[in-house]
Amino acid sequence: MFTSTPTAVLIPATLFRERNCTNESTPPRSLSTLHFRIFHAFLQCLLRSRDFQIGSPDRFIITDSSIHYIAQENNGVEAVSKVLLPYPENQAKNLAFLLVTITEGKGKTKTSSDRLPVDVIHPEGMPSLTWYAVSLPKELSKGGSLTLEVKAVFTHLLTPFPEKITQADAQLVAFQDSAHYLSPYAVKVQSLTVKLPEPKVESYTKLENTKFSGSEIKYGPYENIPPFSLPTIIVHFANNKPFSVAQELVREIEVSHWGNVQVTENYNLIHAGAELKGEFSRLDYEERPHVRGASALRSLVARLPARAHSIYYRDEIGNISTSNVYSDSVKTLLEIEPRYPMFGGWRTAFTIGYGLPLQDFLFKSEGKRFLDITFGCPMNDMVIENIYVKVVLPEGSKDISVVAPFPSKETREAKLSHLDIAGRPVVVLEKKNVVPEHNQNFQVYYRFSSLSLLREPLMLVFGFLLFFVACIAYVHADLTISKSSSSYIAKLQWDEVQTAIQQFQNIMNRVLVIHNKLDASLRDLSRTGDVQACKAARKTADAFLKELTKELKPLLSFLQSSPQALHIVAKVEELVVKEKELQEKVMLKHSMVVDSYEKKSGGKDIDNRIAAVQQKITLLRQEVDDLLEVIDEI
Amino acid sequence: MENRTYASKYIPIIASVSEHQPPTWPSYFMDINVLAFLVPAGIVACFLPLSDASSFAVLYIVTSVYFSGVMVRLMLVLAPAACIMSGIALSEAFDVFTRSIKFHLVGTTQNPQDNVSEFIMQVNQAGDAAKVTQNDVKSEKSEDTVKERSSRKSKKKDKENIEKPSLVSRVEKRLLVLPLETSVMAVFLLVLLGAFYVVHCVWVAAEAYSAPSIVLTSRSHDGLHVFDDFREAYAWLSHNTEVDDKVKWSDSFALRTPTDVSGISFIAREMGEDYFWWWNKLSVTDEFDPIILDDIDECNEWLASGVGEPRTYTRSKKRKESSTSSSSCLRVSKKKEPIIPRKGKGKRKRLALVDEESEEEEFEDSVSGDQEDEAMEDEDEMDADDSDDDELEDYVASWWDYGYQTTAMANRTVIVDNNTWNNTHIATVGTAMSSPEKAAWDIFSSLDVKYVLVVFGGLVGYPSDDINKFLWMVRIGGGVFPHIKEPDYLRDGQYRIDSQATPTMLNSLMYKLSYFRFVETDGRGYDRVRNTEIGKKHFKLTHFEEVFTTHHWMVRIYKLKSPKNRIRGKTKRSKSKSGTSTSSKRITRKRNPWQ
Repeated sequence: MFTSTPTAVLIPATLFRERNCTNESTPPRSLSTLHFRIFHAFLQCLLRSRDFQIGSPDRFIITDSSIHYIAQENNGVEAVSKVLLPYPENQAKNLAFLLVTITEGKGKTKTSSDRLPVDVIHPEGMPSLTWYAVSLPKELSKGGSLTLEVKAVFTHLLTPFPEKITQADAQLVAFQDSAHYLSPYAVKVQSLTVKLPEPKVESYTKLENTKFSGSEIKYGPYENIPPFSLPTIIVHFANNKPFSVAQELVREIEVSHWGNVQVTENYNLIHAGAELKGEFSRLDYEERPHVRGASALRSLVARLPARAHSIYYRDEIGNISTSNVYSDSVKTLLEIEPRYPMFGGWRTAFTIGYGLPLQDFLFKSEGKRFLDITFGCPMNDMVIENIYVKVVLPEGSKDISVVAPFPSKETREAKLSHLDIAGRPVVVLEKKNVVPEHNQNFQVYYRFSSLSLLREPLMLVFGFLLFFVACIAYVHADLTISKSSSSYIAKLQWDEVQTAIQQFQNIMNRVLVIHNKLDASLRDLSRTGDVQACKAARKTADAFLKELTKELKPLLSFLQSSPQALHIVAKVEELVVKEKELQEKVMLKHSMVVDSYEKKSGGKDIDNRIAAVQQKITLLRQEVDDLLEVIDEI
Repeated sequence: MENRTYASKYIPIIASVSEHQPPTWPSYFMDINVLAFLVPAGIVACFLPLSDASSFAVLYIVTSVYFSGVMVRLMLVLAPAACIMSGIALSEAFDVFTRSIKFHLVGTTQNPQDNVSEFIMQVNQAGDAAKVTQNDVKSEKSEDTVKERSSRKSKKKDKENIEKPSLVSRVEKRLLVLPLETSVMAVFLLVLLGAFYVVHCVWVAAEAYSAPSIVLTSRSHDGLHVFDDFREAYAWLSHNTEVDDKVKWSDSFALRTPTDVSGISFIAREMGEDYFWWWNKLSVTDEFDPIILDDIDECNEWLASGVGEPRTYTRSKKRKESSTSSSSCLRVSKKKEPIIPRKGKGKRKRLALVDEESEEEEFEDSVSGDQEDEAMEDEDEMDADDSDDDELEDYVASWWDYGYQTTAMANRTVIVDNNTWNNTHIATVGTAMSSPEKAAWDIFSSLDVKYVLVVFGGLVGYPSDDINKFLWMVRIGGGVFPHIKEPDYLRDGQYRIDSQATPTMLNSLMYKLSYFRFVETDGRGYDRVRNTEIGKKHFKLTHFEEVFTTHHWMVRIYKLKSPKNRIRGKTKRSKSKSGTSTSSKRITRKRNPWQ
């Protein structure tokens, strides 16, 4: 009898209040509103005879923003342990949240019990509705009375009507429900209040006892209504609140025992209100934003936990610069604006992320650790069609179990991240139709050894260690297959020859240095005329030269014997000969000059005497240098 | 080689790119900064002495300087050559200065015991001497051999100098020793120069080379202001248009068949009699879709004139002036037209429209005669084509500059992008942008374009917008389709968009898409880029509708209106014309829409 409501969503809440008991059962109550709805019902049950009665349900449908509250109170009388709450199909399939509690007292003294268990049942012989059975904590005795508060939230019940509007139009939505509470029990007195977000009503069904005042439409009170009575009401009213619906929200909560919980939320958002048709004019929108674009979604506010840090807001093409963060000791408010104002039917996708301090969310109990964090999204007034909450635990976590306050589909997967071997265990909780009422904490219990924390750094340490060890081993290893092969021996010999030649070169160079020193001493002599110093220099030079000649001998003999050095030996020997010659000449020159000084001959005279020797020295020096270079090149 | 500027002068598509302009002196200084002064010094250094390698370097720098003078883009070729030459220059300069400094310093603090070094220093072989002195200062036994060897080498060179004392080299070497103060000062200045160059490079890299031109910022007294309009538009495109939306034209009707609103009707029934008017309202709304595409007058003329015969062209021009009046009357009618039929004026309005249409028709008939008939028939054919061609993919049309961005950021197919080699392709888009609305609509719809994106900087003063590029679109379009003539867009050779602008300019699609409703922002339509009030202030779009404009109006996206109502008007029209047109004509004639 109820039409299936199209895509839009609404939150109506119904408060049912039933006080007096009659022998009739009241019809169940259903509210179809646009967005989603919260259905608040007080059921006061008195048990008298075998009948269960529902007293005076007063429903309040609060269409504030997109959320509608309906309050009802029931007084029921029956010898039962279960109270039945039927909903028509179209509502049941959009039922997002159902909370039943027993309340006592009224007004400020009202106290609520814990939530009562609710099951879906299929009673026989009853109309084809979806039945929820509330199990009472203790059986209601005859004449007893009980007040139940039922809070139900529905999504997609408000229908935008007309479905397409222009930028200048106000968004109108239609909401359909029954004026009477749908119940299998008789209802003695009941009433229904529909609260609207704005005092603008296009039209509403007028029944007897209908009052419209301000932003409230009141139906009732009606007395002695038989069970399953369903007079339809339709309210058509203005609702310019944007209908932000996340078609998919993936929340990834990554636990790092190094001190951080990283939350990443990927939103796929649509404005599910009346679609924009025709032009979008920025001019109109900027000039009169609340008339031209009244239902546009401008910004969203996410209420993040206190001490949230490293907050970012971006989409696939980069950072979105229109966001603000306000934080205090209790909460962090993140105000984000989509890249463009969102009109009906427009979509966007973005990602927000933030880090949380680990110690605020991770606790220990009975040797297990548990993460205690909210399930739903932090946004205000957002309906989520599909939510995937992924809790990524550190690698090596065991005995994982989830405690959630409401049923959700749970799967496991693994996420491979850096330095992972088996992958990190991921708990995926999947749920459809999530409303802000689902913003409750859930717990993930797991075992994790603190020592496992060191696994990754140790892996790195060992990795580098192995690398360096391998390098060392490679450098030191002799990878030659055959130690006796000719090429191997040749290589060894060649190495020896090279060392020998190097030593030879060293010696030669030192010899040449000594020659230079002798030369220098001669120049000193010419300046100072100190013959003794010059002689002393000559003596030390002689001693050095002798030493070097001694050192040279074994090298020479080695080179001569070595077959590898055949092509060098000639040069080396030539060099040695030349050097000797050079040495002689230098000595000759030195002694000549010293002699001359001793004889006190004039400068020119000396020059003349040594001119021939000097020429030879220069020539020889040239040759020696050339030979050294040649050997150097080998 | 002589014609090196041919491409940048005579091929507009090459000339239109700013990187293809010859560079200005400031751009040299901006790009290579101090290197501009160091390069000549490097060339000089390469000649002292000239070897194979240095002559190659000289040739390299000379050719790259030559080519960089052709277009800015070839500055890239110049850059490495300039770096090499400057490196040579700096190296030589440091060589000379440090050598001088060392010579002076060592000369004063001679160590008399160090005979060898002293001796070498005197010979003025500064390069090697430096090594030796250093080694001597350290003077370790282990280094002994090395030291001695180097000294040996230097000695050898020294000997060479003595033995074959070429007078020239000697003189040179003496000359390279500069006074101590000068050298210290010069080294200091060179280091300072390098430091400034580093600062400049960092600045240029941050502001000019890697600054994301997609996010613009402006600093004002109240802080940094971000203009993120491009990404806003691309994000909108990517999320709110379909990727491979295959639109059937006939679907535009199907959308409004009762199937789609069955839910509503069902509810309405539920709601009872009271709500039945809703249902009525709904159907009424459907019939009264406010899109009118009957502002055909000027466009048809244009189409007719578009063949390029001068006679028709002048004629159409004449008529264009009168056409404004007709479109203005249309505009009035449209203004009155009820978008919300609740007001109950719908039917009357529609009648009024019909009246105007018929008036227009008469007007056109009387003026354009045969030509108009042909145009009309062509239109008929085109419609027939459209209806045959059921599946069309959607493209986004914009000037090619934004092609890559649209592809990458909005994930939409574009008509032309930065890598479009087909000049005709780009010319087609240029032609469409330069054409009046109707003709542009024909071109775009024949290309299956659904959205047209223009960049407009007039509101915030962003100078590189499409209006400033528009003349290039005209040139490129005119290069392929000769009926687009650049002089038509220039008043006395001046490019302007104010009241002195030519009617062709003011009626072009680019003008209209850029300035649509712009006058309503400040009341007079003051363009902050061109610093003038725009010429044509109040006008309506007939074939395009604004679907998105970004926050600062920098990107405006328009959608081609679907031709549904035109068909309705057409049937009426063709009925009235059925007597004049023959069916054979219709079949044979098929016109290229952008001719």
